[in-house]
Amino acid sequence: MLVLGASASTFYPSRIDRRVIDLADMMSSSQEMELEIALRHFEQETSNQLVVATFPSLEGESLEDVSIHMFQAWELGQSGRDNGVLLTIYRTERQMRIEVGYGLEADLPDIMAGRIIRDVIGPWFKQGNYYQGISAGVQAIMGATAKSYQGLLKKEAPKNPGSGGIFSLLFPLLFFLLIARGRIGPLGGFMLGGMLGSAMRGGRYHGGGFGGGSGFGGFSGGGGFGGGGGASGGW
Amino acid sequence: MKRNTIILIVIVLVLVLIVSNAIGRYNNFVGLEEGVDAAWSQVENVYQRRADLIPNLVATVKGVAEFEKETFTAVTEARSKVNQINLEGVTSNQEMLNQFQNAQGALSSALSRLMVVVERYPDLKANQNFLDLQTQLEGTENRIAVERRRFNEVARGYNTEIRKFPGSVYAGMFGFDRKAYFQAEEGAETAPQVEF
Repeated sequence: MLVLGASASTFYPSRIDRRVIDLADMMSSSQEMELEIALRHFEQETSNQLVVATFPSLEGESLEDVSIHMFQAWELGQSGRDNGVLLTIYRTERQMRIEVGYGLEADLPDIMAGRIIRDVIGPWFKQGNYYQGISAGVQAIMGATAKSYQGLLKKEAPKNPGSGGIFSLLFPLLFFLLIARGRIGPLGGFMLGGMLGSAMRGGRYHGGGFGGGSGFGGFSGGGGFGGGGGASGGW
Repeated sequence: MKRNTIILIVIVLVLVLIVSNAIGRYNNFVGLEEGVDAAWSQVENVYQRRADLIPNLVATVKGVAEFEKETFTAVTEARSKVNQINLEGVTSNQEMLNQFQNAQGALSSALSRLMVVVERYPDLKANQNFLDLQTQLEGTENRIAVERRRFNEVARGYNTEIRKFPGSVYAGMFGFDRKAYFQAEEGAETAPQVEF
């Protein structure tokens, strides 16, 4: 896991188990629930991980820095697909940001993220209708990103971690045979096996697997990456 | 079994051990270096992305703020200087990376001056096309910051591996060189001040 330079203060949780984190209390609990269900359904359909978080204040931090740190800490998006989106809202500063994972930059380019903030969420927020704004913004984000990875979540089987292909199967067999026939002692076989094994492990295996979006309620990041895509804005 | 045979087997085993250890380390270095190269190509990508935005941005701003000729020329000049920089082997050469960073930094400040100038033209700030370009530019600057930081992280990981003993012996043998870093820029974190 790549760790970016640690942020001085961390007013955001290091792990999340929900898709809606309303620390600034901008929504009622039933509204939160409704949004949570919509986001979970969206993830099940498309495998895209969309998370909404509100905070009372930025606490003097840079909006963009905090956003990318959160995105990485929560590992939004599926590993290898990087299809996460994070909408963060800071009540005191009246600022917000849509952070877009690498894999969705084409579907949700900065321009579109900027327009969603300016033209979709902003007007509602100016009137103080936070839930309306968030809900409309989330729908716009979903609309833009829905097609990308649709259905992939169900079809794809986990990848085979063996990078050595047939040899990783063949070598242990060979050693077993040699040991069994008394050609080399068990210790020698163990050493040789270990050495060859380590010599063969060239490429690193990039873990697949999905975040637990399928269960009831829970959420965990899928290991996605973002590169600072998206847009910021105020209201 | 004869004594000589046992000695021979031990010697062979030790040799195999050494060679396979060297292979393992070599492969590890190759993997890490690939990571550095990948991080660098991301850095180049995001800088290129910014360079690609400039003609469009200048054209849009020029239409409205035609009196700011100096600001435009500063941007186009800084951009052409960036294009002239040779990037061959830049990741292993601190001096070259510094040059690259300085040229890109000059372009950054020319661009931010342009954006400050634009504040004086309310017409532009109501122009959808301009707002989109501004969003793209902000997004690109942010990507640059992210990818640079990542490059430094990956380069640091690689440098640590090739300098640690005994890896350093193999690194020297196989010719793995130290990677350069982006330097922290003074005042890079602060937004330009708008003066009227």
